[in-house]
Amino acid sequence: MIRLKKHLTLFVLAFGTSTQAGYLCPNNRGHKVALTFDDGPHPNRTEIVIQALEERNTPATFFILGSQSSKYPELTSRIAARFRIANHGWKHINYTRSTVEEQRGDIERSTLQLEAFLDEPWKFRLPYGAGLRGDPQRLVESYGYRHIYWSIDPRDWDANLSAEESFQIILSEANKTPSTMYPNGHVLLLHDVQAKTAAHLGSWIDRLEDQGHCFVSLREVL
Amino acid sequence: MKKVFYSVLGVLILNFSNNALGSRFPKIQTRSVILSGAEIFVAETQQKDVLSVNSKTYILKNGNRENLELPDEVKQREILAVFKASPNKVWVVSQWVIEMGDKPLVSELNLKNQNWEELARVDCVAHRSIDLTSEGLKFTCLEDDIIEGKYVEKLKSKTVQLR
Repeated sequence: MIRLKKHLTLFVLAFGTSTQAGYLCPNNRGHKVALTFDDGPHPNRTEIVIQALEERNTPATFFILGSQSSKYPELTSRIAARFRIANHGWKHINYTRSTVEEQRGDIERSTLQLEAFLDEPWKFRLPYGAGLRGDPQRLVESYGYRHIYWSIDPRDWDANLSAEESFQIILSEANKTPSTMYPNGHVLLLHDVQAKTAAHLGSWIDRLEDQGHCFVSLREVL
Repeated sequence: MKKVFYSVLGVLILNFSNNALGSRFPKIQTRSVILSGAEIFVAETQQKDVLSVNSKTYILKNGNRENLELPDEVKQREILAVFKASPNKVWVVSQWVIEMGDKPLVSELNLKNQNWEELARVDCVAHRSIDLTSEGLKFTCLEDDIIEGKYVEKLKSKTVQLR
């Protein structure tokens, strides 16, 4: 019995603590959060987001639309110089309402546009999250992409939620233990094209850090 | 036009989205109810997790519950509102809410033959309210921006005509 207890203790020490260390910040209190921004770049708002991130030295991954990147190539280069870039398709079509040919066209055209900027390994997020774990996700993966989900969605596009309400969703979800999908931290879904997000991002980051949470690269939580 | 609304005794929209989103899943996110005579139409959305929602509609009549099969596309969308547009027609307004909102979809259910038809997709991703008026379904849409460093909101209305 004593031997069994000893083995159990060793097991907990060996595996229990290493699991904890995966999602905990260096302060051993808050949780790691990876920021992701979809749908940009936007001619005005993305720059505000970039400035908020740069001022705080906060890492982030931008899931860019190929069509937006082709309109704003300099802004795409500006993001790539400091942050990670991933693919969000060409023009944000819903993959569950489109043909396989349209899906292929969306992936291939956006890949051509973004290829020079994509962070390795290539990452893709399905627009509208449509087709997760189904044929659209398998199609994306067949092009060599890893599909990236999210664990926190504050619905920053939703006008029925104020900036404070969106923040409270972020905070309450960040306080929870990360899900088994990404056990090493939270993946926060935001949109740099949203005025609400651009206007409040800096304060959201500061307040999350005040609560003990820390921001890490997407790689660190995958 | 008045006839159209005669059968509508009440429209009650209960929106639980704010509370639900900060809570553990699954959770009823929205529930819309119409009281029409002895019938109660209910449309509800459950968010199973952060990656998917599931919606359904049913009628409560004489103590019985009769399910109304939603079109496949609408099942995956959040039900924003349900209205009795005429004695035999129910309108369901739904929106894709995973990752990003899309244009709200207005679907019509013909109660005589249980057929669904797509009526409109309204260019109003962010909306403050949806109301049934004498002119049709009125969306109060929100457009926001950052002007000279300040976050500003502007409301605009868009109306889907009743047929």
